[in-house]
Amino acid sequence: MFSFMVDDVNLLKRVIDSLHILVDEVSLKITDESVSTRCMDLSKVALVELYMPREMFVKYECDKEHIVGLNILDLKSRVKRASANDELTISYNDELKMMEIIIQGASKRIFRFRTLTTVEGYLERVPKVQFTAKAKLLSETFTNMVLDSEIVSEELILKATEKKFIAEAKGESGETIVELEKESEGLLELNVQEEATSRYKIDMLKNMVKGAKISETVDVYISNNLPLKIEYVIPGGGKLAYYLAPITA
Amino acid sequence: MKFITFSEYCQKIEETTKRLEMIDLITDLLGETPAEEVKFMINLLQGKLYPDYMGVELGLAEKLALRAISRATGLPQGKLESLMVEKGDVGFVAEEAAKLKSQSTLLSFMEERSELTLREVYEGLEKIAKASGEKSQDLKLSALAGLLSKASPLEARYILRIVTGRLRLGVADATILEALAQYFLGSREKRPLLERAYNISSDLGLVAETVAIEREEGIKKFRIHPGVPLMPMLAQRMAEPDEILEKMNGKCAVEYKYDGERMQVHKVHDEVYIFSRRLENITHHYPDIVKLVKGHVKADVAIVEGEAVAIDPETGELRPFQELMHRRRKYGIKEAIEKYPILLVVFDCLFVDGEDYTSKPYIKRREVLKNIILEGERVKIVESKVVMSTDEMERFFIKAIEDGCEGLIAKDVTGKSIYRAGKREFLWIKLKRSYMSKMIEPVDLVVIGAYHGKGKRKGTYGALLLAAYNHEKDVFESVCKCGTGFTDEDLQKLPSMLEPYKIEHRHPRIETGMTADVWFTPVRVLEVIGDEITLSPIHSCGKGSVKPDAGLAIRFPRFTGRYREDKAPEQATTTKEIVEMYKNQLKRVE
Repeated sequence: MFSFMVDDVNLLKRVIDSLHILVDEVSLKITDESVSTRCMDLSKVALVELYMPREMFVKYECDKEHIVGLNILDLKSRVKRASANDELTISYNDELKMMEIIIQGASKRIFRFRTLTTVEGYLERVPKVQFTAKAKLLSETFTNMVLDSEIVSEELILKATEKKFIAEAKGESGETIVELEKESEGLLELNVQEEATSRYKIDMLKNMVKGAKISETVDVYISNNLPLKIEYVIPGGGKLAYYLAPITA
Repeated sequence: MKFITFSEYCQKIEETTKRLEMIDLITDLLGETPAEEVKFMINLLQGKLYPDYMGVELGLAEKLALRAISRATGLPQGKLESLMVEKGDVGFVAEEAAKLKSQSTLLSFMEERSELTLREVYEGLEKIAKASGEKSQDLKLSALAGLLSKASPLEARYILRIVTGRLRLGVADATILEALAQYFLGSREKRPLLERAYNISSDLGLVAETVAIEREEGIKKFRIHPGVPLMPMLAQRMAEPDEILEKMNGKCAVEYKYDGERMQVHKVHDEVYIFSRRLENITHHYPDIVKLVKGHVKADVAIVEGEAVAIDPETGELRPFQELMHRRRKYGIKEAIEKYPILLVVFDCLFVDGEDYTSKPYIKRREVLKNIILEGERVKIVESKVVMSTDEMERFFIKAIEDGCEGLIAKDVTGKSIYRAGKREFLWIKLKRSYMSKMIEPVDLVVIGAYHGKGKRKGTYGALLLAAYNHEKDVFESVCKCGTGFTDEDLQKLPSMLEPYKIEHRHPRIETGMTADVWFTPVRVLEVIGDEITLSPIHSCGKGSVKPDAGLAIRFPRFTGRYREDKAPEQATTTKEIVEMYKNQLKRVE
């Protein structure tokens, strides 16, 4: 049995959306310490990782480790019914063997629904990548880098040098270059052990930067021709990270 | 089984031009397939996931397919579109793209790369075929990209062809049956055994799986399952009644061949399933038939065959085939039911309450049909007659045409006349018309009689009996019964308009083989057009001028809306003119 009460309903809605852009079904892992998930999209090009420690929740109970498969739409449609001031509790009813969402506001509303049995298990591992460059940006700045590139191409190149973090895109109609220097307002930190250049598809990246709604800043990790990782900090000590496989020449 | 093995066989099958070689290739392929995967393999070989009657179709749009290829390979959409123009086949595009591939997957950074299996591809395709709802496009896209991200170029070619519904290896059912017989039963001669199982189950995958696991014993145990369609028995075709009678040894039954949609109707307790001639499940198009079947099929479980035709609910007359096709729609089914009501004419029964009647002769089946069908306004047993002469057959034929049918089906009535599922043999022979005379201009006809309306037309007339004027004999000869084309307003005023001409008996100047509810003095003239002019055993218009004993009739007549008050009955279209029209427009069909 587990049960946790959410402090910020709107934040929860955003977190669910950020999973939904990649997957329709998730395996949630609930332990005494945290709620987390790690899963790949069907095309195996991207991965999403979510971690929310018990401290993020108002009330938290969990007797042992649980892994439950959920259809995100099932979850989303019910959570959507709650308004900002409601208290929302997500729990598992052992007797009925059903998920329960309880919304406490002007009335007490109980939503019960089934879990999935066929979801692929919780991914134990993430890609093994040694990142050689890390940039901390304003979320909005990074989002703009992606959207500016999209005007001319379906893919972009991310580059990190000692002094600059750059996005470049080339297409038939021209090219776009977005440059951030250490002094730029949008670049908060740049830490480069080794210069890195890597190419990615914009359509996937564009979905991922929607996570910007969760956090003001984003950490972008890259290496030469390797997957990238972008990470948003969730207020309260959690994190949401995406991995995206590169396009190789 | 690895998917690459399957793909390599597909390539070889595609390249061969010899049927025997194809059988050998499929036989070898069966040898490489584990028994529990035979079903999946056989279905994929035919470019499908399930038997057709289940109605799950693969047929991903080309555009979405290209997006998935782009997602999986990292090649830009534009590049793929130009490849598509160049290659003209989405399979070749995928193959080429897989060679040029640039998008990597996370798997290659997690050391979990593995080879695609047939099962995995089948399950992926299932996901794609079944995806529905809000995010179904995305789901299809990523599931396909997922398969492609693991596929070699050759595998990519066949995955794409299957998912877009364009595999087309040209492997016929019979070829697969022969390969199955050769591999599992030791000889191609044993194909008929498998064929029978296939014809009563319509599921090649199931037949293959059964023979792979249970061999001959399993195949012999195949039975009809109500709810699962049988392959329909088909008719041969001949042009002349005397040929047919000769083939049938001088005696046969003849049935109306309706120009509608052939249906195999399964009643399983409270459930009804309707399958088309091609075994698609078309139940949802016909909720009215479902209701009819529940009320008019007295057996608890039954499989009957019939023809659905559109009718005019007021007159009970048939409507042309095109009107029935309005019923094959996705939306607005309820409105269509009201606008295009249906008559179900049943003609055979294959299974009743646990008993398989396909091995019983025709006469027996017809008898059972009569026992289990409660006839009514919307459900009838087909018009049928045993004939022993070409004259009789021809007269029945002419009547069928005039009644709005396409022709006749002659059926063997001897002891060997079983229901041969999936076969086209001479137990059934169709006789269609070889000539037809299109009607291209309207005619002015005289009202000589009328029929009381039913249903919505209660209180007015349902149809009028109309005649042409025979100038030589100075009589009015009936040429059609017309109940179509009248507006509500027309219908309302018909009784009062015709009241002055009402008489107690048939007027002496009227000649017709028809009877009417009400007779009129021939005075009023209406303009009417029809689809064609046909021979008629009942109407007396121009009797004997084309064929002895036959008059002419207008098929599918409708009122144009014009009351010819300016015309005296003697100025109506003459019999002679109608005969001319018939002769001028007479053309061979097909």
